[in-house]
Amino acid sequence: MKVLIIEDDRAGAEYLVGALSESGHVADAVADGMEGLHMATVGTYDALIVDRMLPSLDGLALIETLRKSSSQARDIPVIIISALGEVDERVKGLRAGGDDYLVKPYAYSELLARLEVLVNRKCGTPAETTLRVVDLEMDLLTRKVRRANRTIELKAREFLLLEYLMRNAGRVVTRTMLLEAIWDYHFDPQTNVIDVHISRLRRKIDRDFDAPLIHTIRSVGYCLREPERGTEDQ
Amino acid sequence: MNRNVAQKISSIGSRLTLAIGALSLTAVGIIVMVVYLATLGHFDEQVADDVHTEISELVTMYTRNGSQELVREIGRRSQSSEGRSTVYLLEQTGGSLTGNLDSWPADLSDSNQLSDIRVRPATGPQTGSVSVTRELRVRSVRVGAERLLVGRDVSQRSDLVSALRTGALAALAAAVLLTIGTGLAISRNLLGRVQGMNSTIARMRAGSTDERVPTSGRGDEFDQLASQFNELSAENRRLIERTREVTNNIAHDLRTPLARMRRTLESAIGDTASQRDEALHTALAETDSLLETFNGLLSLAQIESGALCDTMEPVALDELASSAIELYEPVAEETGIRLEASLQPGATAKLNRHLIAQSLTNLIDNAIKYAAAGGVIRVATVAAAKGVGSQLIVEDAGPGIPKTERQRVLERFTRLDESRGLPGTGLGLSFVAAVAELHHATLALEDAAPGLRVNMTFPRERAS
Repeated sequence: MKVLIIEDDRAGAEYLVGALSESGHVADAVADGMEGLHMATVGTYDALIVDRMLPSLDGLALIETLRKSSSQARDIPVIIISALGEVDERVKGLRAGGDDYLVKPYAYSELLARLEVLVNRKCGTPAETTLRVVDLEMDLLTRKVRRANRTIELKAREFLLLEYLMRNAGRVVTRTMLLEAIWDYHFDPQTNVIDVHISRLRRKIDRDFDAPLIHTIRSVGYCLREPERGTEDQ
Repeated sequence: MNRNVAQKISSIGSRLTLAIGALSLTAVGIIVMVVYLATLGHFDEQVADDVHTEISELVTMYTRNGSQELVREIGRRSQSSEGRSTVYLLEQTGGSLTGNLDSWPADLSDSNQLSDIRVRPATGPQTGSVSVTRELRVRSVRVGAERLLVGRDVSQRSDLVSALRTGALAALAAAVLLTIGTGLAISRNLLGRVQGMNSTIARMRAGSTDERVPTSGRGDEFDQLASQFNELSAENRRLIERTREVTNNIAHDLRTPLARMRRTLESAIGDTASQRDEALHTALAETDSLLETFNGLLSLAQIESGALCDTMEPVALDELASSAIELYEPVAEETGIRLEASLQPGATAKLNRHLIAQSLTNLIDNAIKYAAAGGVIRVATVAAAKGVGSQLIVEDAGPGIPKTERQRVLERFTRLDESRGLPGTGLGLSFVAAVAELHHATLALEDAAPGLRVNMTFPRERAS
């Protein structure tokens, strides 16, 4: 994945470039809004990370211009990062054409998880009717879930939760991502409610089977994937 | 010295006095002028009327009865009592004069118009009156070959003028005196009170917190001003006090996790790699909870500033509630608590979905934290009915909150002693209270006997 970081906080941008390349991605950083817009238009990036406060062209204007342009970069996934964290600021960001909005300070793992989910979503899996991860099957039309040919009964929210995990199989999803995707809650409840939901889902999906599919990624979130040999999380 | 004078002039007292003075002088001036002109005008009109009437009578007599009769009539009129103030003179063709004037006045222009002349009475015993110059207003006409003159003594006119002038001066003097008096009264009475307020406020600003602006007890505008100011400063003091308290609380609530984090990091130095990782994870978790507190404070501040008012939309409360219940049901079940929903459909309110959802989760979170295991939490929505708006209710069967503490728990960082050991930022209920206020909703903490019932009642929507 090739990412362009448009951020005037040099230390922050450098850290991101380093962290992203450590995660196996390629990242460029630029501090100026106009320059960033230019690079985004002519470059071949898979995603943009845009700060809202930028010299010469602010982040929202940059995104709006990009979305209205005729360049091939107009549909590129964009994550807005900003110190402005209030509800209406987020709405402004998404309205300007951002795909996701992350408030500073954020955890790098959160950014990476969102970036990967976003790029994958934009790559676009055409309207599937069945999701499949190893021996777990989800029929989106009949809303039936089966694992190893055994039917599993799920409640409505559990189904949505599993659907989100399966659509992003192999990628890490964070608790806040789940809260946003399934409840449209853009805040963290004090109790770790998501953990309990996941453990219930685990009971139904994993308990009676040999290999667990839902993995906990410590202090980040969860990942639904094929169990790796030997290297199992707790 | 000069500055002192300038200050005196710029003070409201002087300016008011000057304004009142100018106003009353103008008013008096106008009145005097009107009286003056009206009186003299009336006098002049009277004189002109009299003269014209007499002349036309005499001329008529002449044309009807001839010169002899006119001479006789003039003689008669000259002798009458009015004769003193009216003058007649007929000059016949031969130069003989009939009337009560000694000679044909020399300076009389023969223009058939009224004109003022001065006549020195002939020195002779026949008049016997004091010899003064008479001021006459006369008119002469030609009657055939003869000349007729009729006039009136207008010596009173100058008396009238001087009387009017004296009166005017007296009135103006009175106005000036009144103005000075009023100015002094204003300065002493009203401005003296303003001065008092000023010096009190100066003392307050200098740090004397117990000062109050004095009131006269008459309930006039100055008293209203003073009591407004006193209330304002009391409110100010209360806010400062509260800010101090909140600052202390913030410092305390942030210091504890910071100290914990510092300990963790300090003891990790020199540890093995895996122990260090453990410590870093702990520190990270502490950082997150600190950030959570910060974010909580920031969003509280934002909500209290009322900036989110334009993000309201009509939302069905029961859907909002069932979504939150679904989120919390597993947690409640795990803790051995039953989450009961009694959602009345049709309960809608104009609200910010995110803020109310967060408030609701805060309330359910609290209820789960404080409700005893095996308890029941009831989440209810009630549709708007006569006189009451839609309601959102969260009720637990826990220990509840003593009546005396109910107001206090809505403030930032208030944590009752019983809850010190439990996790939480102490901002949950403050957040709910601020959100309620933003929505103009009333937030009531009630006794659910046992337990706490939190009732958020939205304002009734106006039928449009």
